[in-house]
Amino acid sequence: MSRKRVEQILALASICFLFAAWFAGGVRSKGEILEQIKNISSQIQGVTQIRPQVFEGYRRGNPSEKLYIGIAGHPSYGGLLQVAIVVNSNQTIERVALLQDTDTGTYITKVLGNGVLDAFLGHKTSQFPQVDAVSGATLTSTAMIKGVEKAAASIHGSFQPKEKDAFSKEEVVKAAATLGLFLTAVFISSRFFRWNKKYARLGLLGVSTVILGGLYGAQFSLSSFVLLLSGGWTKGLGSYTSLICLILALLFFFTTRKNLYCAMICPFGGVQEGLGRITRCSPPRKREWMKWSARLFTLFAMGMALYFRNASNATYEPFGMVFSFIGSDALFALTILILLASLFVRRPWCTLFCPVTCVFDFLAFVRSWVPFNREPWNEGRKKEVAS
Amino acid sequence: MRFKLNFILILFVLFAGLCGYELNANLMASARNTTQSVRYVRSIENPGTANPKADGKDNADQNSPGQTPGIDLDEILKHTDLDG
Repeated sequence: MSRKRVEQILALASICFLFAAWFAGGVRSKGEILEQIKNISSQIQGVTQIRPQVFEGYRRGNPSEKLYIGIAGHPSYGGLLQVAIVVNSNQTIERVALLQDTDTGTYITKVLGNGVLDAFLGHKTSQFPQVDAVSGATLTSTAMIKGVEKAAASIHGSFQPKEKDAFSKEEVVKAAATLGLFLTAVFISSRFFRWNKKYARLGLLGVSTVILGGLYGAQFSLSSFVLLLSGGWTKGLGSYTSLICLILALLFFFTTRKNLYCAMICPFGGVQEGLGRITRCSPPRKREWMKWSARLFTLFAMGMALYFRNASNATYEPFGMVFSFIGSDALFALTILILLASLFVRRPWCTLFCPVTCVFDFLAFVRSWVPFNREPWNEGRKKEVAS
Repeated sequence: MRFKLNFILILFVLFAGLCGYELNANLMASARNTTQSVRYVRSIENPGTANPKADGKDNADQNSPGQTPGIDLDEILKHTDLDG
């Protein structure tokens, strides 16, 4: 069996693995709501659903004391964030709970640690306290605050679930800037660009590092791929910029047959390349087993994230740490290691372990199967085999 | 040349180790949340601002009322001979 045939079988097997993980995740999450309510408090008994997102029960040992459980979600950075509140017959919030989130754990810990959810305890649903968003985790804290407000409105029967969260003006500006970066990349890589392509590429990389990385913190990662595949974005997102960036990267990858994102736009690639230019180091030579190990790692991370229906599970890249200074100790160590290594080998993370590179490698391989979009090298090889 | 090859090898192993550690932490947190089914619960009797625990370390039983050991200063003073 030829090497190409083996690779084709492995590619199909990985697609099957991802589909199986997604399907198993769907089976796992069935009937989760009632189980979650049971776990919010052992004091609540006789839970029945009275309206969409609203449940009624009574306090243990006192059936006359009614308790109402409202569940609501609001788009956060990584997808829908779902909270629940337990309200007694005096309309006082007795319990608050975080049921589901798809944000990076560090953000959630920061917001909960600042007592954003706890601030609602003891307040009446008609008199909410003024709760401020936590700096550095604004989208997550806003999602929690809005979630509690929506849950209370659901209990009162005044919440309209069909209401859509409108695209903010800021989001439109971010999307336009991202599109502008991609169009510039297309122009630079085209034959119509008559100036020095090397410096133009480096210039665009620098601009993109400042805009996408520094200002917007909107670099897409493996979790964005998972979010796109799992359909989690259909429930709403706090910010669509990284998803739009991913869609544009895929669109231009398939139409121009060039990975413009990694070469000219990736902000973390820009940081590494900038450091590498100081010492004029060469790229590392990657061995075959390293390439396959990184691919296997990426596939496993995507599969698990699809199974748990949590895109942030697949986040092990240091992008958040580099541009927002948020992440675990391991990511901090990884960031320092990459930045130091960038002085000795060019783009060490991109070449050795970046999951985005692995996904684009996979897509390039799959693209070569499409009859009207074959790679020139593949055509040449096909002719050789035929002759 | 040999030094560079070894350097890249060590770098790759460190990348894999740190990323593996991070991925494992993410998956363990998700598995724990699945088992407990609720990630974070606080009640009016036991608000968590003094000792917040996130990442699924809490469950409903830990927050049920009457389980928090407290210090009643009045009770202590009643049984204490303050005059020596």
